[in-house]
Amino acid sequence: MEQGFDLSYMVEVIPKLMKAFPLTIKLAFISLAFGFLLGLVLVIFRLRKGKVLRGLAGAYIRVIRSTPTIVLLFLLFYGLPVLLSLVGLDISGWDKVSFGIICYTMFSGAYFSETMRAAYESVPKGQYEAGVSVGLSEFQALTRIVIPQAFAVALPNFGNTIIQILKDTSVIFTLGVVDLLGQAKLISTNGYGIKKIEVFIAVSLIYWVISLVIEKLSDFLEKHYTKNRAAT
Amino acid sequence: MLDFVFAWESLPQILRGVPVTLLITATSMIVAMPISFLIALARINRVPVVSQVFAVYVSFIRGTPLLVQIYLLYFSLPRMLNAFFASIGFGISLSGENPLGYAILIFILNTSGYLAETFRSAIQSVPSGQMEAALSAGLTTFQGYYRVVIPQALVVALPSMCNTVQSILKGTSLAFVIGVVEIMAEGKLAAAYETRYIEAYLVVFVVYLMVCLCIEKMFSVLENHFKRYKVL
Repeated sequence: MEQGFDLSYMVEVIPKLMKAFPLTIKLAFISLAFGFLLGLVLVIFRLRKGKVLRGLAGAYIRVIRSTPTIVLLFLLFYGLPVLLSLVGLDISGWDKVSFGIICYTMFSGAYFSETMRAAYESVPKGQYEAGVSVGLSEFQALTRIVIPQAFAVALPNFGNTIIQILKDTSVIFTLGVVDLLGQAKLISTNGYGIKKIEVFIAVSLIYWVISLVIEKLSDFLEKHYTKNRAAT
Repeated sequence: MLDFVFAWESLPQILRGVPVTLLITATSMIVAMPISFLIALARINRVPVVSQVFAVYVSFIRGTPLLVQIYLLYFSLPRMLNAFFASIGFGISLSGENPLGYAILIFILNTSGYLAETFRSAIQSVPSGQMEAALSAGLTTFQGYYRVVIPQALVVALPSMCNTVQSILKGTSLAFVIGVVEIMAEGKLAAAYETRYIEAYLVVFVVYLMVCLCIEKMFSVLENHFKRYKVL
């Protein structure tokens, strides 16, 4: 009854799994791109002096950090159509993946903004003041002095966020979308059920490799970026 | 438009999932702490073979999605455990019949991976002089860790641990895929019962929010208590 471990099947199944790879990657990177923009907006709100915007951004981040991915996904999937229909927008034709994009954008926006905030605050105020006192405008001091240094601090965390979101995309499977995990489940149920373990090991290896690649890339970028900079 | 009466009435049912969620979260955290501590120690001291194995383990846990881990372990653990018990002559035949037990095991393994990294950086943040001083004052290694290093490392680790606990909590929302009836599962049941999806998931959302807030408060108290061990 106990079958041996079928390595050749595992290798065979990888190309079949990779059919869903583009969807996972697209979902992740579109969400990350929008999320980055959202994060920028949020961090600008967070660093202002006015309490309203600061409080709003802060509350948004806290709420997102306390919400499981799947809960937000389901809320958006069931609630957004109803919400938008109140303002007259009909999104009944939307693909399920779109809800995923919104969901992961919301999450990555929160993570990115926290990373940006911590990185920004880690640059000594003196840098900005020095820049302004030499005659640079506020904007120039920010973009030429503060942000490049903040970026170096933020880089590893950006890499972590990318990996986090990539892994999180697997949750969209619960909505019925055939992403990497969905593909694995399909293959395992179409088979004889005995080969399940091999399929899931294969899919976990794929995710693992993707994470390692991004980690290495992030490390490389960080080294390259800080190569010619003096340590603060 | 929103059926608040239903939302209110579904609350008791959804709250019934909270004990299960908390059980998985607390058990994983408590059991993972000593495991992660050992892993961290092994990696810091570069114990041959063991530290490499642990490094691979931690990398795998952190590089693969939780949902994939859940499926992978749920399908492979029964067979592996059976084989293990058979080899020591026990001869039990486990099936997937107790999903809660497997869920707890899966989350213990997952938490240990993440917590090991937290502990590793926390222990390394305590100056090595502390351990040397302890040893030179006549304490055993064990006492050195227990009375000198760990309290200081804990202060550093507590904020991360708060994050970790919240992560596990949110992660348990995925346990329903293997049949565990926790908060999310109760939410789905409540939603399907009256097809009132939005209200049910809103309640689920609020419940997770509340539990996360409680966890934060708890860690606030802990952080205050441990402040006296702070490395100056």
